[in-house]
Amino acid sequence: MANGFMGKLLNVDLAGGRLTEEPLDETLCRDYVGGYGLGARLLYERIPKGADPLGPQNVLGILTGPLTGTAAIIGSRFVAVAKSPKTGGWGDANCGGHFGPHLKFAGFDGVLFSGISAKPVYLFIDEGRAQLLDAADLWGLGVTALEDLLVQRHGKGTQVCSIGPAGERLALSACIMNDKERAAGRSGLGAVMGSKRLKCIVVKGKMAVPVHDAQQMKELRKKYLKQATGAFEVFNRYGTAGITHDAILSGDAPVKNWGGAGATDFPSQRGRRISDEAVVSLEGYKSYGCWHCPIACGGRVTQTGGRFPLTLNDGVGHKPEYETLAMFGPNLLNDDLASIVKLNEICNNLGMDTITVGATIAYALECCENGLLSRQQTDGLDLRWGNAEAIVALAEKIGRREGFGDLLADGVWAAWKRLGRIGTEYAVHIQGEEIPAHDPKFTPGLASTYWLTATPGRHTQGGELVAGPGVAVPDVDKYAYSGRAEGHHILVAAVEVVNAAGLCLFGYLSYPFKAVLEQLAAATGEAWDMGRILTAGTRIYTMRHAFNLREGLNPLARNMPGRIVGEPPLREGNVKEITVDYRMLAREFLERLNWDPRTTVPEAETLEQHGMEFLADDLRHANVAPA
Amino acid sequence: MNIKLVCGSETLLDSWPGEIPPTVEQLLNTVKKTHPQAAANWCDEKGRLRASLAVFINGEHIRYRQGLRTELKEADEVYVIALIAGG
Repeated sequence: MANGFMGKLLNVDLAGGRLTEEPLDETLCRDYVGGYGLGARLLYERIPKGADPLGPQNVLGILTGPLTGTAAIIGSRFVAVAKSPKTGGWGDANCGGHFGPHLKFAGFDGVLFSGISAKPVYLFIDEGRAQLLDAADLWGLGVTALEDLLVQRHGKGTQVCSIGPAGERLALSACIMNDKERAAGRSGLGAVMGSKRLKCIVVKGKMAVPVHDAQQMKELRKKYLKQATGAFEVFNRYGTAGITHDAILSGDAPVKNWGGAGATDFPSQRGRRISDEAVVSLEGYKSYGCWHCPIACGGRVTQTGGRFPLTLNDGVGHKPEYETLAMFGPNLLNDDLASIVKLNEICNNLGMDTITVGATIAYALECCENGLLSRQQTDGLDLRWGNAEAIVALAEKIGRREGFGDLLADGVWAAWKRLGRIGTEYAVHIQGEEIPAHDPKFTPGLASTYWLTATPGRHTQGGELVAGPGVAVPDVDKYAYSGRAEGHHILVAAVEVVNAAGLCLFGYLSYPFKAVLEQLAAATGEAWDMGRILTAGTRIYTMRHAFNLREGLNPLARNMPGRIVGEPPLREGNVKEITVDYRMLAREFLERLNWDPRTTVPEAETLEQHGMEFLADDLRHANVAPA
Repeated sequence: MNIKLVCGSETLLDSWPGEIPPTVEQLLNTVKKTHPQAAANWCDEKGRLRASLAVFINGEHIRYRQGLRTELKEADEVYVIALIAGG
């Protein structure tokens, strides 16, 4: 058995109710690290080309990495993988909390769900024993009540990942939730889980994760905990809420659906109302962390009065984080922090991705502003920028697929199509995935990341925004579009490995990168250096991409919303007059990877170099139109 | 001189000693010495100010002026972003 792993996967055939254990392939673990690396490799073979993402042939995987549930800093993550109903291509979403480690403590590195159950069910794993149970009484519950009920039913130590009503109703804005507020948010995977009539996965267990050198793991933890650097201080004090004001000021955050500028549309004093000190000054604020996390970026707050009282958990909710603050804040010209706390509660409980919901509401607001939608069409809601009451009401309707909310529940792209393709400029997405709150006009390298990566519009896939301390990349002028490919490649590879290993990106941003190498070596017993990071990370990146190529999807054929790359450029603010040459960034990156510059199919020698010759035939016959 | 330097929620300098106004670079290099911890992320491995450091004068990015060579004047507030990542 490979070190760092429990050594087995659980296959669940939901149509037949059959559960079968499968030994983990050690070679795949070595080559693809774990998590979504392993997931992409396995699902490439198990999901047939052309499968309906919401049909029985799609496979939903919940997978951990070799460092999940170990002493590593910070091994709290798991990943959900499947074909995405949002993009029609590869889908994955990464999440922290306590569920991932406890899946391993219950005895499995991952679970792969195929088929569709005839009735709502849930999977219960207790110390290695797995069974499918009836979920008739759970179907329809919000995430909060569901977790409370299951902990009561299955006892102390129970951990749950689940979908809310949005996932049950196959909303493509749906995510997979755990710890009541942690979301595997992107790619619409909550809808995949809902399509399988799988309400939740419940795990319990105390099994130890076998590692190569447990003593060394402990010593590394002790050593590196003293070396906190980079983002640690901000994340420790505020969580990601600590960057909100600065992101608005700098031009990194979207303002008015990416069409506005902080300086003129959402000036500094408004940004301060929904950022750092304002957030941690909320009533009852108390920070908390994911499993064994020294950063503890999460927080709970109490909101029992005012215009937006929280209605669950006796009025105790979760501190909104940066993406939520930005997408419901400057993106909607809304500086009412209480409303954003409420929106966070709604999205968490109904199980929705706050990036998707924020972007889709912004689209609706702009359509209303420009007379493309009437008040009659919006169920009487007065959808104006910054109208917090209407925004909160609309989010609730989206999660429940009620009235106008039903039209928006599948995200921007679907809404645009359903509404007769109105307001094309306001529908900000790439291939159906809404853009997270980091603007390529502020960090140009993100443009090609958003455009090319297997899960488009993803800020956690190694664009230049995410450089861990000690990850050396060539020093290139920020707005030089040529000469960035090497740096992009290093950062992509580093992040692919960090994600696949089950580590949290905030640990990567807060501790020296050497910690990742040494922890991987101590856990697996294998040698890890930057050379291997580059090789393994490139292999994972290629595997995720190959899933899309086989579907005939060429990232160069994806749309690019003009607003996020400055086509036309903004005339105000701190990213004014900037147009990002994303095509040059992409061209040089493809050249660096030795992928075809028009089809993006990797050259045969590149596949061979990464031990991926098995893809050659499929990709040769893939119907990828040159762009 | 009444020149301020703010980083995140901390005011690192609330007046500039002397009567000759500094450039942004001079101001940052001075504060780097007095507040090494706060300024830890400002520099590369060789101790040079990062070209990508996000610095604003009265809310405007220095790229729209003369960058680090911009000469400051009375009542200017310089703002440095401590971190952009995450979320």
